[in-house]
Amino acid sequence: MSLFDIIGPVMIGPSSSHTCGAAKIGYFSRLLLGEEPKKAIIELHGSFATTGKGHGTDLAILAGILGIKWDNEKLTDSKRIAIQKGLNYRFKNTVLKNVHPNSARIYLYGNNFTVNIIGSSIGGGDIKIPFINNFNLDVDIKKSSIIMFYDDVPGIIAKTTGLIAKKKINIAYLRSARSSSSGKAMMFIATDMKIDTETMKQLNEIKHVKWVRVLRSIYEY
Amino acid sequence: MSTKYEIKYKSFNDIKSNMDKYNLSPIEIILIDESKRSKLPEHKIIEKFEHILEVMKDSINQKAKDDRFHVSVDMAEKYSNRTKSFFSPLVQDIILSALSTSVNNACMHRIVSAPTGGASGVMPGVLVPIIKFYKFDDDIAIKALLIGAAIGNVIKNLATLSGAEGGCQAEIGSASAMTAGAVAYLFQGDITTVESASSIALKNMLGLTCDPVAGLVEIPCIKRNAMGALNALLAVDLSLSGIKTTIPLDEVILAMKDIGDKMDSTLKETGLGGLAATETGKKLLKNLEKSHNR
Repeated sequence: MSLFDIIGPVMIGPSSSHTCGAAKIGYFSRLLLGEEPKKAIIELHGSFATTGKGHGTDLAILAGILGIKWDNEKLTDSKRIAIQKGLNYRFKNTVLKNVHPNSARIYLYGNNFTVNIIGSSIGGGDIKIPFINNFNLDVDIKKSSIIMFYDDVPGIIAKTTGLIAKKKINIAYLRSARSSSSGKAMMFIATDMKIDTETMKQLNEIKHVKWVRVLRSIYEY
Repeated sequence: MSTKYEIKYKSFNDIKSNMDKYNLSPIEIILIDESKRSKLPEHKIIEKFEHILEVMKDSINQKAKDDRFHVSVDMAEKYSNRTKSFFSPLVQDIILSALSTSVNNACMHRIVSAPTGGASGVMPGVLVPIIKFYKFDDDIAIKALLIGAAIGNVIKNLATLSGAEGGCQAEIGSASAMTAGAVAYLFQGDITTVESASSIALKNMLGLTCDPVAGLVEIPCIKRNAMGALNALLAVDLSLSGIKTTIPLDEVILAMKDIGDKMDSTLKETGLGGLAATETGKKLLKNLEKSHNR
């Protein structure tokens, strides 16, 4: 907990959980896609579904997807901006299992990538990302991090951590998850330092790695 | 300098004992600790608080044009037209600023969550008019904000800042306590005066439930922000006169947690009890749902 979580965040009202946290979840999904989204399907769960409309949860998530941050007054105009930018979006209510009551699932489609996440707004504008592409990674957005999607073959974690070690970047912790049906796996690496673009490029070049995203701590956005 | 000290605080007493142990000011303690938490150098922390203060100053201006129920939007405007108030011009400005910020929040304008969106009118509502009226410069105002933030941090550590967990006492109550401590510091209150102001403010708010109509941050939240602001002023006025709190701040916070834990869940941001469950409250909810389905 930082003092900036107590007085702060600077945000568009009315609700730190239903508006600010919702915008952060949308923003995270955009960062993960790594390109301009063309289509978004947004499913609202629990209290996001029941009282979300009154708190502008829909406007906030859409704003985040469009790259409009939680402290930007344009947030309330996100539906118009989406049409202007040619983002095709759809909202629906859903019931998700074993997640926080303030949660949303977002499917994002770009020209080259598609991602889906489940994000939870856990209070005071703080968020958690329990799932990425159905992998239970429990991403901590307060850390600088690397997120990788790759074929589930031996040696990927060793190659990745070896490369990071060579750069003298300390790993805070690492989580990985796999799917036996698709033969794919994902890894979330929280690091004590920021990752430079050169390292990111080299990670991308590891055989069997499908994509790599390097994210800064949420405090820096 | 942060490496020299083993500073960490969980309670208000920890802040006081660190001050004694290292012969440091509360601001030094708070900055050393925060630097470890956010991994930012102290000048960066100050810079970020400068931005927060700027947004607070801006957020008290009347901006709102629309709200959910169409009953709150003109509240600030109406109050600004009151001519024969019981209160001094400064206190009137404080009430108006708390209302305006809170209406802005309800109507999706930019505010600083302090410590939540629902309670965001209290701190700027009091601090901004006082800074202006007494001509405090921004440096000292930022130190006051740090004191307020540290008190909020202590409440978060020992209890909660969320209405869903602790009721309104945890939101407006905390905001009022944070503000009272900050303002007492502005007027050169020493650490025990700051503690008394904060403690008195929180004691006066114990037991408040979180039962807003339709679960939205509007009825009764906006008016309650004005009350939280006035309550902070009262607490500071008492403490600066030398009146001390009998119960230490940490213990008042633990009492708040105890009360919050015992509070019925229908009164903790569920929209099921209290004002939300009144005949009019339910009617407003129905109207809102109709307008959303349109």
